[in-house]
Amino acid sequence: MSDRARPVPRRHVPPWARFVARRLAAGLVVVWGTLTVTFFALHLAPGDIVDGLIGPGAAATPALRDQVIAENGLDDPLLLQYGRQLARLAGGGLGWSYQLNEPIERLLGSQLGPTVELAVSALVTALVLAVLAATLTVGRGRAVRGATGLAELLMVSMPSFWLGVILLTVFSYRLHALPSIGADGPAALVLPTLALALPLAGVLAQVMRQELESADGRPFVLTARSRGLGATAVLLRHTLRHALLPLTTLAGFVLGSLFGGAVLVENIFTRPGLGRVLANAVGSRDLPVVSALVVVSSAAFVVINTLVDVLHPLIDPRLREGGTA
Amino acid sequence: MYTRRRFLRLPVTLTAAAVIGPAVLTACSDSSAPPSAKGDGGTLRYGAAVEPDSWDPHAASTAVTGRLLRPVLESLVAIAPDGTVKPWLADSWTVSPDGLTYTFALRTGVTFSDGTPFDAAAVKANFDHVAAAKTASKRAAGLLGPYKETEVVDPRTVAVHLTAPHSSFLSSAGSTFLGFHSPVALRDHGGDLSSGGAFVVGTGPFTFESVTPGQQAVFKRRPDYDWAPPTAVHRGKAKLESIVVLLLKEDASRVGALTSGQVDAAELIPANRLAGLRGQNGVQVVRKAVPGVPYTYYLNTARAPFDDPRARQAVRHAIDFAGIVKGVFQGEYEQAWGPLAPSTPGAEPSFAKPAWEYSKEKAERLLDEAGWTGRDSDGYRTRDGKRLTAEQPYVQTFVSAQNRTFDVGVQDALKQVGIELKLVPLDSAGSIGRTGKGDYDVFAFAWQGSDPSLLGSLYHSKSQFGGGGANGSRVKDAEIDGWLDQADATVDAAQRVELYRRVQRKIVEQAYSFPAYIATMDVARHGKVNGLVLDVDANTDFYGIGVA
Repeated sequence: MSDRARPVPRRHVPPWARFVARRLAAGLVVVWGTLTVTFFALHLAPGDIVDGLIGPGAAATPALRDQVIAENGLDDPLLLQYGRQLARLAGGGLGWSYQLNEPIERLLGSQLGPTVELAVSALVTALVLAVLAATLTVGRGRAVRGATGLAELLMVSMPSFWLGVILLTVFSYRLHALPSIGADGPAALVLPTLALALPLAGVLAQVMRQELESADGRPFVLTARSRGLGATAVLLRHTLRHALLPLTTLAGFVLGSLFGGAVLVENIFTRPGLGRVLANAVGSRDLPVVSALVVVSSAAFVVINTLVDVLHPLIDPRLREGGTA
Repeated sequence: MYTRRRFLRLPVTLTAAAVIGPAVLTACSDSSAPPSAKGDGGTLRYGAAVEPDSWDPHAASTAVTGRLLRPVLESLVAIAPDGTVKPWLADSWTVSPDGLTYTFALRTGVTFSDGTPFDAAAVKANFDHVAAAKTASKRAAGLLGPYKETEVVDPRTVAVHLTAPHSSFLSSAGSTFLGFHSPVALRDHGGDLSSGGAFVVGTGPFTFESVTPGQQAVFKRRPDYDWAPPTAVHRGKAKLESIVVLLLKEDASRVGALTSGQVDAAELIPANRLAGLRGQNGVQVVRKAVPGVPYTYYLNTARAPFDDPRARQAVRHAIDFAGIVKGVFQGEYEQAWGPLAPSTPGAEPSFAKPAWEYSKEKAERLLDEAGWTGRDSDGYRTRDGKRLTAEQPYVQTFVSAQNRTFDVGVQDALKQVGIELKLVPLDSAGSIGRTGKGDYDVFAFAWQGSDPSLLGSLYHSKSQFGGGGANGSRVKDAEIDGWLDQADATVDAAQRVELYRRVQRKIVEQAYSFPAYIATMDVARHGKVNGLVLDVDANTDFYGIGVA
């Protein structure tokens, strides 16, 4: 008993746990901040929320307006509405969609899977392509590097939706090789994945090649070579690991661009998904849905970035030593 | 009743109407007479253009909800192509001389797909659901009108009481928006109906199996169905085993899915894709006049400059609608002349022909007479030092690219006679806010519908935006109000039509608004799809379709 009452000595809490706890606390602040900004931005935009909810309807009589306002508490002071929103989310409830008139859990439940599937598939594809492009071209002649650099630049500057339209036109409408719509099976995943992954791969490959090249001149490479390791072995065992670091740091950016890109890509390929839900909800000012999505996506953002920071020491032993010292 | 997503397409609220706006043109110009369906069974993959805002027609605002649920939810009466009312779930009906009570004798032997019998109590449960405040009906309640109550006379007889005469009630009773849910579904899942799928249970030839938002809705045939209305193309169970409706709101996705064979048929083909599709092997286009209101420009008559009839007429003369229509829609759509498309029951026949002339000289003269004689450094007309300028708000996400092009064409035509038209992009809430306050000069939309009582929502002084109507011109015309009220109250069909025609003539005479073009509903199908016809509202009738 007395043991339990005594404060736990700090040194018994592993540093990584303290680090994660600190990061998650900061993450909560991030989630709260984005939620707050979203709430007030939607309220400050011109036009009445209730107009967006009801939509342009000839049956939208004053009585219906009043009722929608009363039911959703839209005539309460803004701060009260804001507080109610926070309280509901803090209680774990996502709420009810004004516009679609259904529970948000049900709405998101059917849409989360396809988005995660697309995001993971695009992320993996982009990483594989980037690693391949960088390792195959690093240290090659000017012509090869010039050509790949140009190709990468092209990919980077091509918006996902535009790429999506091109892929659709060629592989679906012309060649009939892959489906253009839906989310049934792996075949339907190919084109949307490429549309999202190619621009990302372009960025990642450039970052990675630069890292590989800068690592090449470092003493540890020289040491490895002097031990008689071949170029490939050095690449695989040393420089590649080195170059992966900045890639993981980029994860936040990558996640953001995947989510943003998914809004458009899901629309083009008529896939179910959170991006599509978000676009619709913003259009109709469906506040509870927008808030729920903001919470979900910013929480994902926080978790992934925390994971990345936890992973860093695993990839780079130098950080590991620093962390435990 | 605008459609939320294609409000016009915006103001098309009407849903698909925008593009589909109204349409006249000939029915089925590409395919000849509806072939009888051959083949039994099979699945139809259908590309729909709009995703419903709710799968409960009693609550929904989108017209597509009614369109896609027609095979599931049935109505008391059916509307024939000429607008006449035929029996369906009601065998017969009587209207009291004061127009306040509609008594229906119900058909026997009809069941909901969950086994519940269809009877007077089911009718009452549904109409009460439409009228209930909690349903927050965005469309159906307007169709029900001045509803008082439904009285169960006996299990096979039901009386609907209104607080005021409402002559369009009978034809509205044929709409999917006043269709019937199983009373058991209403009781147990009243809060889930908007989610669609198995929650929605009706008496129709198909059952609603499932829905994946943003992707598809699946319907299955009901084997024991046997109460098709006399307007139907055949009897007994449906031909199709199942229907997979793919929700493809991007025009390019819909057309692409069709050409690559991923769907068997697709609706709302944009005019500029029609020529290309017709050239494709095995693809045919079924087209039909969509009745209702053409894509129409409403001038705000409640404030300057369009409170002056000369300014309104000047605008009408200044625009070469025929040329713009031809250019933008590649000859697929026709210019419109009247407030209702000629295919609408009750349309004024003289407006099937040109009703005014395109003449820049006349426009210039009228503007001079109205006092807009000065010119500023940009070439626009001025009066007392003020520029002749007009603002047209529109909702970006609801307006099709082609309608945008059209509006720009109009803008350019007006510039040539010295009128500045500013196109103001807004989001939906912003646009509704401005129109509700009357803060605009021009507003444009189309409206699908097959009853001339539409005119009441558009031109009655009590039908202002924000007040349950869509009086885009903010017309307050005592004569028009009187005719509209009489038309709503009369039980004499011929007199009703005459009154609505008078309203139409006055609108054109006063140039309160002017119609621009009449679109068609174009549904493209592959050759293996047979029996695809469009119903009175120009919606695809799934009941008679077969896939060979």
